[in-house]
Amino acid sequence: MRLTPGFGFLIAAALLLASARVSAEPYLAVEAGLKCVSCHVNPTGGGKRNLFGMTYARTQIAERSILVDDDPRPWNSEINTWLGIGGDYRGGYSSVDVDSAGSSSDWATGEASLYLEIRAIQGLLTLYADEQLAPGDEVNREAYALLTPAEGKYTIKAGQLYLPFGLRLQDDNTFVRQRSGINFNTPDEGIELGLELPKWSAQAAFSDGTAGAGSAPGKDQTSLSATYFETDWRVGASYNVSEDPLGDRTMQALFAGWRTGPVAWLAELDFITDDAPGGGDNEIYATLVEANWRFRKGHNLKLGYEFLEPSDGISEDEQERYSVVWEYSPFQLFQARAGLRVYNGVPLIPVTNRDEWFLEFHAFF
Amino acid sequence: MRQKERLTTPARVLALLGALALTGCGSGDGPLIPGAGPLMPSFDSIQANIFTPLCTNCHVGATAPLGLRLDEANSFALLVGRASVQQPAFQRVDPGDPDASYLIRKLEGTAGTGGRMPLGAPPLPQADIDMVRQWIATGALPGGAAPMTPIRVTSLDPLPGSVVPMLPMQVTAIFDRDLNAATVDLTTFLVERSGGDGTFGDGNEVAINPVSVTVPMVNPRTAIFDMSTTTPVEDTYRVTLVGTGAAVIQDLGGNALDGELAGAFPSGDGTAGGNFMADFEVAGVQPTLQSIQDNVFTPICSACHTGPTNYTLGALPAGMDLTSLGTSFAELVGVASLQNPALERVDPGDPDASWLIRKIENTQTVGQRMPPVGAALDQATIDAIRQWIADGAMM
Repeated sequence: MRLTPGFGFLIAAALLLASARVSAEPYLAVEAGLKCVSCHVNPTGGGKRNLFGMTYARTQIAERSILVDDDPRPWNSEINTWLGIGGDYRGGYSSVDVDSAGSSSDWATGEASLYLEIRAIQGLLTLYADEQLAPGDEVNREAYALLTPAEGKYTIKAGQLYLPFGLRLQDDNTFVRQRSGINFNTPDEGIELGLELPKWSAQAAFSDGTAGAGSAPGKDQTSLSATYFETDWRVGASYNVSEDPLGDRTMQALFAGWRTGPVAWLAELDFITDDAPGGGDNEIYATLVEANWRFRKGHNLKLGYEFLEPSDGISEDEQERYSVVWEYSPFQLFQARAGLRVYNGVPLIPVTNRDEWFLEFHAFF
Repeated sequence: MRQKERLTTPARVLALLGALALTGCGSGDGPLIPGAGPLMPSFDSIQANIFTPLCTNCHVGATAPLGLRLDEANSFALLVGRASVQQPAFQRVDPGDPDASYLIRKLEGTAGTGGRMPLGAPPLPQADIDMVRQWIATGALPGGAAPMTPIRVTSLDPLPGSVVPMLPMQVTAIFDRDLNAATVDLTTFLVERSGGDGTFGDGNEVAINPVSVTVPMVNPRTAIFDMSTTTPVEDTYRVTLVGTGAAVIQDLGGNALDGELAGAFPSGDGTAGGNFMADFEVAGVQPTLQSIQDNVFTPICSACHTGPTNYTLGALPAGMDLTSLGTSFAELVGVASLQNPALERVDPGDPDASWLIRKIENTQTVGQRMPPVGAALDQATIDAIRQWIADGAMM
């Protein structure tokens, strides 16, 4: 299926103007009027859910909560006062139809991750690890020590960590996460200083700038991000500069979340500039608009529209991605997702013009 | 290519919102992948057709995953001869060795670490990966030149000049780079036998009709001539790989076979063209009744199992006539043993239950081993008889 640019505009306009119902994982925070740290061990989101996050998922997201043998204490990822574990599994069936190149489909595991949280000193020092077990061999994604002095007002992370930049979306293939190069596949070694105030959340990270390849001469990365929160909306900005002998990169992002009735919205605009030592800099624009409509408890309909200008010096290379995803959580710790993503891209590059159907099973604990 | 006018930072927001409203409209002035042309096994072609349009979705700029930039300015230097970050024992591109190159493992999904590339997108067609393989196999050179040297044969199974006891199920030729599979077929990969005189070119040769001639996707340097259904005959066989003529074997870059074999591999005289020809001999009892008759029944068994001339009340040994192909088949296949009537002399498909096998292997319960005098049949001969029975004991 191919959507015309005009139809794409209509969808984007409808998303922006009609305030219908749509969502992404950060949408849960927008919907609840909470910060990422409310539900995740990692103050900037992603990975292991904390006790509140597990409770919220069980009581607010799932259609119903199952109690086995009338156990009044269902699984909440907390082993005891100093140890917590968690995990995510995502896998399923997908079918891809590439223009003029045929279709293919397969069953695959997209992600199997295990989280470990050791609260060495309650409320002050936490050791945290995020290990990806599949696909492929085990890969360490995050491993850091987290200090949270002043009852969490300040946060200090040191180790391998996801960098603060834009919305921490679950889908690494969104244009904003893919093109910024800051996503769950690209943790970096460094330190992150954070500030958590009632209406503010801010981070400054200083890292190797190699996206997980260790330190390298001449490479450094600084990533700054701040978000202002109100109950029904939030707005944030990020700035990232990566110094590299092969050419620096500067990135800026504006992002926001708001809710209109039962719909939680997300939006992000990224501006990326790649410098080349010999000149010929390249500018990249990427954007995302997403709406999440929880039309019934346990059910969420997500509509998304993304636009990408991968190189401002090249014509007719813009790309779009449309997403329609239905998420169904019949009970706690489980979610089924079915969706369609339509890519409109460059005629000469068939793979940028494709339709993807998928059915995904997501289990977490 | 003209660069677009730069926007001030505040104007970028408006520009991007404008882009949302003008989706599909070109915003730049230069062409995309200018002059990319068809994918060829050269670095420039791979850059233009794969790295730039696909890999730089992520692998670009200072935040490129694992520091690997695959844009035109950096990809060669960061790939060729550079150790992989995920698996440092491998080079990202190991010139001359595509199987050991981490790039190939990531593209084919066999790396074992992380996801298959391109991440989040359909895998590359194997034909495209084969082009990358060939670029690496021929040295992973920079620039736009695909290798101009002719493709050569590096080994053959069965070995040239070898004598094999049984007709092999297939003939396998291995080349020094990936083949263009479309050029390897019944007209360019030939096997024939001499017709029994050990010589070729005298008109009595017998062409072997294969089940198939293939270039396996998993090993595109290999061509396989499948003759698993060919009736085995003791003879001299000739393998020909065509490098001269209208239809010749080629690599992915269109380089023709340099086929002449002068004693040792690789083939070739340094100039494209020339057929590769190599002979091997099948000598020994084959799993056919004709071969068994010629090599066993007639020269050995028929001395006693003479048939009607010395026929005495149907009794053994003369009563079991093994003097000719027809009588042997009639007296053996599906015929109950006189010594052990519970078994057939030859039970098609079941050598273990065939009385003939028990007699020649000396596991019989009645009578003596065959042949009763002289040496026992060698195991290769017995195996051929077993195979003939297992195959159905056909005439």
